[in-house]
Amino acid sequence: MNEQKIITSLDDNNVLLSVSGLKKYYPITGGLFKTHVNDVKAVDGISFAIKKGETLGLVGESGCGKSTAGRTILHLNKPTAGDIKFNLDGQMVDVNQRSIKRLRRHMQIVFQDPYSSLDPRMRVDEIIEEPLKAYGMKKDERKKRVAELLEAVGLGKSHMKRFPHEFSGGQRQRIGIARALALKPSLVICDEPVSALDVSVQAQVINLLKDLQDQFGLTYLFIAHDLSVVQYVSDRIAVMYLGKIVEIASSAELFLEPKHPYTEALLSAIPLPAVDYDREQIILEGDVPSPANPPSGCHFHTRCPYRQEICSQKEPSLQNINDGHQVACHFARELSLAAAPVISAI
Amino acid sequence: MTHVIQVDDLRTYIKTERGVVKAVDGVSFSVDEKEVLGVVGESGCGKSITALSIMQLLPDRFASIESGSINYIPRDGNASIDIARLNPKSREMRSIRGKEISMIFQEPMTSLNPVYTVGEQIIESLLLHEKMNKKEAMMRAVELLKHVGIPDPELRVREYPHQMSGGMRQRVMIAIALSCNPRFLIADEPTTALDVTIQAQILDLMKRLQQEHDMSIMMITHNMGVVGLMCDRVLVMYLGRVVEEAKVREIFKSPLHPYTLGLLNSIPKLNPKERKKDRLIPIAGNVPDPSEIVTGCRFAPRCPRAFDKCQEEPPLIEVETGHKVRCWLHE
Ligand SMILES: Nc1ncnc2c1ncn2[C@@H]1O[C@H](COP(=O)(O)OP(=O)(O)O)[C@@H](O)[C@H]1O
Ligand SMILES: Nc1ncnc2c1ncn2[C@@H]1O[C@H](COP(=O)(O)OP(=O)(O)O)[C@@H](O)[C@H]1O
Ligand code: SF4
Ligand SMILES: [Mg+2]
Ligand SMILES: [Mg+2]
Repeated sequence: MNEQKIITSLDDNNVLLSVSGLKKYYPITGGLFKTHVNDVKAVDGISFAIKKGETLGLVGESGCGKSTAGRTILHLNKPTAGDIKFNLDGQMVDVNQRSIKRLRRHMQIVFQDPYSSLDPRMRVDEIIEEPLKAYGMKKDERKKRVAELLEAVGLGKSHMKRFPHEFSGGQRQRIGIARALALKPSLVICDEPVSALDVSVQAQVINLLKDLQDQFGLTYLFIAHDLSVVQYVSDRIAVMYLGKIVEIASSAELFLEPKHPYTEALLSAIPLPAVDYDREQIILEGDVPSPANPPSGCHFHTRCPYRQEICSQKEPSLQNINDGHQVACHFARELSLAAAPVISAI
Repeated sequence: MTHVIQVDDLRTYIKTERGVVKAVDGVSFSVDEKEVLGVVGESGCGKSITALSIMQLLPDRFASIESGSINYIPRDGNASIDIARLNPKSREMRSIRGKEISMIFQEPMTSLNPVYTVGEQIIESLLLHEKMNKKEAMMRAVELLKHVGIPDPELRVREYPHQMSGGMRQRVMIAIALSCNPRFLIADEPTTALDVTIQAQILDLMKRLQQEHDMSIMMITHNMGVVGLMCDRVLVMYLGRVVEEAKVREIFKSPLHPYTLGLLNSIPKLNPKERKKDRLIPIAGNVPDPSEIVTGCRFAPRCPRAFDKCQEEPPLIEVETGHKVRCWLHE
């Protein structure tokens, strides 16, 4: 309950999305009669808010629940518990099974693999037009909007009549972005939008996302596992581990003054494109445990280099350490952790 | 310095429905003893096909070495062997593959056999190359698993690949690759599919093993960070060609080829204090379809500095000792 209090401290007028105590459990069934034996606690009580116009980065290793969090916020998955509120014209509206129909046009998602999310039998203009049609926009208006969108994402009119397979990965991601923006959403959840792209094209798409944000005042929840990318795009960053948020801070503060041992380890593990930089790599032991059977107490204690007895017994709550800097570690105030390695001169 | 491998003007072509793809098109390089050579470039530039050519593991129905040589220089001072001339199935090739030269892949699951236990797969190459009986080989397998940092190796040796995490499977692949103490290890994107903390573990392990075993490694990656962490020297490939070759320090401090520069500029720098200021500088366009024939410098269509002369293809020139570049700006 501690977590929910923190959220209300954010100035509501500026908040576009607020999430509190969000849980998504996937049931595990077993035995002859497929009885419910356990749950994968994919998202296990996360709380955060996103301000209008900002980018909140969401990082963590695969399986920690990032995609589930994104999809559950949009009710593409039914939440197991928790509250999601969306700012619609100054009113914080409950996002639920009923309201989502009305809210969906304001909250969109861009996926990692645009190919699997684009219908291979539809031409590009039809793909982008589809959501407009669903909202009953007239034909000539639709055509105009499609042309606008293609231009906004850097594709020409010549691309309109082609099929998805005729495009490169980067171009397909542009198509996915154009479709997500069709209904002028205010929130776009970007689920690893550049993870499958080559670096030179990744940079094109990151620049595009930044330009679109400036142009249309978009708010992003930017999910990724590449910390350099997340640092580059995000104003604030939330770090997840086994279904929980372990730290949230401004991008600069998280990289310069991490307060959670897991964040410290993630930062130190980034391989930098350079030689001769100061670093002492922290190599965490072992694998990420299963979210079906998370460790007791602090979920991170099995791999934490700083663990003490209390860590396996009591779960640390997410606490405010500094203005807007929240950490879930029993020793957050005591530990002095290393900042991300920085390349001094290039 | 003694070379372990010397590749000269290698050309490996692939027959596809849309025509012949010159996946590797005149590639030359060598790897020194105990050296870690990085090979970087974006997807499709021919890194894996170069590696598979050296291993003679090309999909033989449609890929073949057209010309060039791949000389393996044995450790005992014996005459070098041109792998490119060997039949992939010959006894000679089998005595090199897995014993002198081993390879690990990005996704261990595709190269591990799901129906055999981890132990059975490790002893396979031991039984093939070393004079050991099954029991000795199994004991050695347990030792190897321990050596690559797998906890409870006595139990793990009886598990199947799907019972293990991605990081553990990559450790098993490394154990198999090292089982016969190879001189040369080819690692094709060994950590690309892994999370960053697991990547750190595997790279750390590879570094330690490389030093302990005095191995040479060819480290294929698209990640310049992995190059910085692991490599002594690096080849930058673009569309089947080497466009730059240099010591790692040189590549980062004074990259010469516009493609290398483009790759480095595309990477978001960690710069938490002044994030908003710098905009990424991507490379324009996309890697062209490999069946499109490009004349002249292959990078010219995307190169911000292309000029008239670039309609002709530049040679790979050594501009400083050990620093080679294929670009008319550096004649
Ligand atoms: N549809 C599903 N059914 C059951 N388990 C799922 C499903 N989707 C995800 N999971 C599990 O939930 C956990 C979190 O997954 P995910 O949200 O995809 O993580 P991330 O995006 O951080 O990699 C993982 O353990 C995953 O296996
Ligand atoms: N099995 C295959 N069939 C057809 N083309 C292939 C095959 N494998 C590789 N190629 C082509 O050969 C070229 C080089 O591929 P590859 O060596 O795999 O690149 P990299 O490893 O650098 O990503 C690419 O153009 C690719 O499309
Ligand atoms: S609570 Fe304990 S185990 Fe968890 S991160 Fe902090 S020190 Fe480590
Ligand atoms: Mg995901
Ligand atoms: Mg490859």
